[in-house]
Amino acid sequence: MTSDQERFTTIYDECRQRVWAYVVSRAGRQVADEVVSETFAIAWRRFDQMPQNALPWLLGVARNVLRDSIRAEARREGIQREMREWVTADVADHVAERLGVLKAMAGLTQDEREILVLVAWQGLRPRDAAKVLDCSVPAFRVRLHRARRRLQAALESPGLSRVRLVEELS
Amino acid sequence: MNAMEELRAARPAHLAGGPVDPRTRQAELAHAFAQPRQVPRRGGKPLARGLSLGLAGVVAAVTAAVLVGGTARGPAPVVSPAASGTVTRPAVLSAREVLLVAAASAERRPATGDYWHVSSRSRTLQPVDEGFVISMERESESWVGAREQWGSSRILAIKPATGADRAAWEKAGSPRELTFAGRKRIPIRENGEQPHTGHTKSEEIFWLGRNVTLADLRNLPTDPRALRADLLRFHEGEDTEADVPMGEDAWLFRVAEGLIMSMPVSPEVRAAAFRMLADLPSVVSLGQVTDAAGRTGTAIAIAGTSQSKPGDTGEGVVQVRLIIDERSGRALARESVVVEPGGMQAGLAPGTVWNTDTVLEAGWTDEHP
Repeated sequence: MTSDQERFTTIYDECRQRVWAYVVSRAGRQVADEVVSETFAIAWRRFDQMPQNALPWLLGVARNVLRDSIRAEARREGIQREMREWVTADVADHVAERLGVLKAMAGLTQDEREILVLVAWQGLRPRDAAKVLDCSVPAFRVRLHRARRRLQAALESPGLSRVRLVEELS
Repeated sequence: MNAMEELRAARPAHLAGGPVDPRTRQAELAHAFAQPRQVPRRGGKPLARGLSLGLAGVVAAVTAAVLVGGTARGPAPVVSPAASGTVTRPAVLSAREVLLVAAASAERRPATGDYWHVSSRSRTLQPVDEGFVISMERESESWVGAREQWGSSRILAIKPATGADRAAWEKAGSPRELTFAGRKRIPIRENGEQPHTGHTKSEEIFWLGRNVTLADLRNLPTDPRALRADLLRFHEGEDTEADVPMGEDAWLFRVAEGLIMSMPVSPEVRAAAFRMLADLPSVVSLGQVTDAAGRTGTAIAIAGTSQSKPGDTGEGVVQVRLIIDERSGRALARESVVVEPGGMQAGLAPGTVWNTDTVLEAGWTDEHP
């Protein structure tokens, strides 16, 4: 292996599962491996452009791959199936709060969910999450604030989110 | 707990990471490394590195010991220009899949006889100081017994590689001798020579990173991991022929290609060698290609550096390919393709198959010449 291939492999090992988790949270498991594989193929092609902090950049590539290669309808179906699993799998845990917040997530829009996933599940700082979405940091903060408020509201009025959930999952 | 903390705590377990499935990892890395690297161009769009620019003539053929070096340095653009023939369809199977099918086929081949007989042809393209490219073609044959060996080798032709090269040669006054790297003289041989034959009595006949006997080959492990460990005992971080650094993958590929192509190992050991290669992450599949003898096979490849030219520190990147017929479990040929011209391959266009080594026949026989 060349030293570049070794560096790339290290980055792959560090980031692969996080890219996968991001794709799953956007479009479900069915398409995730395919999208991740393509993401790293592009990443190798453009290895010279990959920044030191690779994860946000990789997530941005994955985001474009999703947009360009998976139809919007397939993405929507994929994520609905995925979210159905989140709530049914977690029912077994009998953790009501967990269930509540996952249901609340299901009641949000795709864009809102994406922002919350990047921050809460991927642990990205706003600066890095803004890179993924290719927007300015101030714009990202505004969107994050709004998404957070929507999540809070959904948690506080579970009835409403359940209605949305039923609509979205049915 | 505020909403964000609640959300953080509610992340479904399967999205929390954990190790990648090894098969998936293998496949994804191989897929990535099969991509051509882009080189950033100042003020413009990135340019794909080392795209196929076609062959400098499919005409000629070969001589040439194996000249390709290590992979430890330089980028690793693995491109898939046409091999000595053309790529007839894109890669469908991964390198791993190809090698595993080949391994299963290799196990089914019988192995009896007193002499191991190999017949092969080689072709090397060499840019010469006179400003064009010549091709050197050779055929060889060998019969190897445990204590006695017979060999025969014949130059088929040494001549300008293409019509354009011939025109350049004629323009230079059709010199009968050519130079390269400022000193070595290469005679033009338009027609084949008489074969040189030889008869030796030796025991350490084959090379596996060290000289080995037929008995050593028989005692190689049939488990891929044990084989790898056995071969690596003689890996000292350097290329097998030159003092250049060479990583484990490249070194194992180098040793295993000889073992697979032309050594009398048991079907089980050959299968283990295929399986060992299948586990090297830097080996990629290029799909179907045609070898210099016109046979179709699947190419698997690894990146390497070109052999350095005496007195020249510049080096190039080559891609070494093993063309496999996975149905019979045999390797048909080994080829080296210029990815970034440099070293001995300076002056050849990217995509040029500058060296081929084609095995026409390899098997046991009870007779010798």
